[in-house]
Amino acid sequence: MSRHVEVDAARCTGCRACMLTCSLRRMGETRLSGSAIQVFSSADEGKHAPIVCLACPSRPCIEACPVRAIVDADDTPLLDVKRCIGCRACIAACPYGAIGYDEALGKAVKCDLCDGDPLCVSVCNAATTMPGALRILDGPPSAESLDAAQERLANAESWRCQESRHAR
Amino acid sequence: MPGDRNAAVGAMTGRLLWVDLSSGSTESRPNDLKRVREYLGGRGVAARLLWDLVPQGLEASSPENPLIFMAGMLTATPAPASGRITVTSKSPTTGLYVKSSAGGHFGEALKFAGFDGIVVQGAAERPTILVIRRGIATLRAASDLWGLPADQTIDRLREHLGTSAAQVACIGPAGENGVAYAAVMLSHHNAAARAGVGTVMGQKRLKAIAVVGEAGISYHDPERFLNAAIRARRVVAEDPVSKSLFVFGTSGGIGPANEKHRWPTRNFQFDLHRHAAELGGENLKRGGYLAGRVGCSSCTTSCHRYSVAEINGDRYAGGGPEFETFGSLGAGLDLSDIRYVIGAGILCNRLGLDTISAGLTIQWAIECQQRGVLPESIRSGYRLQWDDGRELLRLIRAIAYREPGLGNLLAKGTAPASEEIGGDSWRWAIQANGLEQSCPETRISKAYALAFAVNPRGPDHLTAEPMLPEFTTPGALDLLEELCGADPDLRRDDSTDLREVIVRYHEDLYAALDATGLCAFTGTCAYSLRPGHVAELISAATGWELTGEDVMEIGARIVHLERAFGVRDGRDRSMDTLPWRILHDPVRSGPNEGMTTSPEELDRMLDRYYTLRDWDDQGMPTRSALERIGLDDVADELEKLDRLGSAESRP
Repeated sequence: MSRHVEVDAARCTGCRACMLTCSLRRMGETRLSGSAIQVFSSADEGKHAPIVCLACPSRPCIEACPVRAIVDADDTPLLDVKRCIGCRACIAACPYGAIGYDEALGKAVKCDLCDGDPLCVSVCNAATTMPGALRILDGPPSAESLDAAQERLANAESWRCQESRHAR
Repeated sequence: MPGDRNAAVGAMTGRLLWVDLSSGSTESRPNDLKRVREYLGGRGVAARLLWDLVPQGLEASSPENPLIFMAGMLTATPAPASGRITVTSKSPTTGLYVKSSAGGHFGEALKFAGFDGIVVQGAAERPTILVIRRGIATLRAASDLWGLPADQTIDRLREHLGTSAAQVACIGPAGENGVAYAAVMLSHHNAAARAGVGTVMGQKRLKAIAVVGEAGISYHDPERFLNAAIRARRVVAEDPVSKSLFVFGTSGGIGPANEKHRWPTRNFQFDLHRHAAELGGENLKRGGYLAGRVGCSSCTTSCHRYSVAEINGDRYAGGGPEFETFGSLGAGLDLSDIRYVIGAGILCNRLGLDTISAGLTIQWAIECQQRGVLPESIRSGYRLQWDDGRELLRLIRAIAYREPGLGNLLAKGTAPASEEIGGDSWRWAIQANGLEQSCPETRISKAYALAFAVNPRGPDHLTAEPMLPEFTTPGALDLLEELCGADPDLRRDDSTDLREVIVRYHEDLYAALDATGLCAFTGTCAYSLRPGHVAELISAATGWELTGEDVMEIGARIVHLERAFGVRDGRDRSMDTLPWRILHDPVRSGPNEGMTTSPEELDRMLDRYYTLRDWDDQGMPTRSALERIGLDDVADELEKLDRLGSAESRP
């Protein structure tokens, strides 16, 4: 059965402990682009958008990969970094913007649910009585959850677009 | 080059960026490993650099006075609440050592950009910005940024650089215009604000530093560090104080402070604020002003608020207000409308002003008016009265832009302003050594009184936050018993007994936390992490195998070096003091009526504190005190200058 990291963006404070933790576990170093979860913040830091793979039912990333580096699994599709050629086809295919790109390695970055106990969730929910923005849920994401993921992506892109418009 | 691993220890980049604004040059140099071993990072390494770079008696306004930005040793790691950065200089406001630290994400970005810190020397001829990207530092003309408020400076720099990942440290108009208490803003709301570090940045004509961090930070033992960080995060997050800080923010503490009649109002004339229920963290939430909570880098607690208020059609939205802002720009002015505290705090952030000194200076002016000592020529054009939020916003702008008359007078701070006005006005200037005091009621809380008196930068809560006697969390009760024994009288806030032991613990641990980049809400002011937790994090990151005692020794080394910096310039016992009103003007009503921290009481606490520190009766460190923690060279220099404490003159 699939599981996924459920996101409640209203509870995110933009601390990015999840990114620091994820990259340390995956890479043995902290590097923001090495994290499989990305947190975007609005320019004035009032709003935040954590973006991570939801293990969605359609899983277009699998089909998109030209070298079959992404294989399906019960919990979530798994990316074999050794096979990845960094073409970004999976990134383009994901409707939720949930696959990242590691600038240093030149390869895709995808959540593997930390073998079932995602560390991003445990550092976000460090206290049992103080729920964070992330939690692990059994089963596929609900329709509302997928809508919310698209809204987070739209928010993150709008925050980025404003800047690139001026950059030109 | 940044990323040179030969020069790095775990969790650090091993590089410092040296910037000379006079010659327009930048250079990446190794971050000396011996110094890192002795001082870790952040406040510690910066204090050592300042000691080495600043000769005795240097004018703080001289271009030679460096401005140092130093990220915590563990900043940019998942260690709990580890995002702090320290800004260090010699203060032109007080003439003393100043460190001012802040959270946010600037320190994190700086390390990901390949530098543990930046040492800025000299002064630019024209307004300048520093941009650090892909390991390369460039100085550019500030051009259209000069004159902009801090929030717009940050937004425009991000637009220019084309990335929201850029983190910016900058000054607002207050720093450009030489206001004595100008802040360095490290985001729209994270401020290193005290004792004029933004004033120094303005004197150097450095408008902003923008950093884009894209590299990585490596570790001696990544797996051990990850486990230590997760364990420590849990310890912090399970602390009841963390939970309260998350729910209500720092200003959740206002209700309890007011109930105990120790919430200063009307410039410390009274200690009970009649509108406290309206002005505090609970009403931020209840009244619908709280739009979100903001976490600094890797925070476990997210105490910062994001608040929104509308005032006469103007929308104020931004970070804060913090506990101290509710004091200095709220209760202190006897405000009744929370929207003006939100607005005033945000306005100070935009203009780059320290909210504490701005509030206390305006309170001083209103008391001057109340007592009829402000000449008409100076106050003309302004209403000076309590509970006047609209006028408060006008006054803040007048200060930041140093408008002729009152704005220009108040921009100097209470000590120079009261000298100018004369009469008895110095008596209600709530300052000592030129720094306005923060709002803990030091007439009542004796641990705070002692800590404020010996604070190297002046009287405030950011070198020791000894809440310990007031707290009843399990961590606090255990620690107090360990330090002082089980006598219940020691839990009295107004007890003077063993305050030296409490203050020393807080000072040493606070210094070590500032050096590692961990927030005070982990180990002092909240009591979840102990020195041993910090030692395990550092050991896993570096492979050094430190103990909790080692961490406290490093903290003590930093405290002594900061003390030596002051002593070298002439600091002695006479400067270990508190605002006149705290010493001589008793609390006027309520259960604490009649209380001061009298000069005799302070003297007794100082004697015991000096003895515990092995300093002489003038508060000057002795050779044995300095050599015990490896500061032999500091002892030599003080001796050469005839400023070393005498082993024969004990308190």
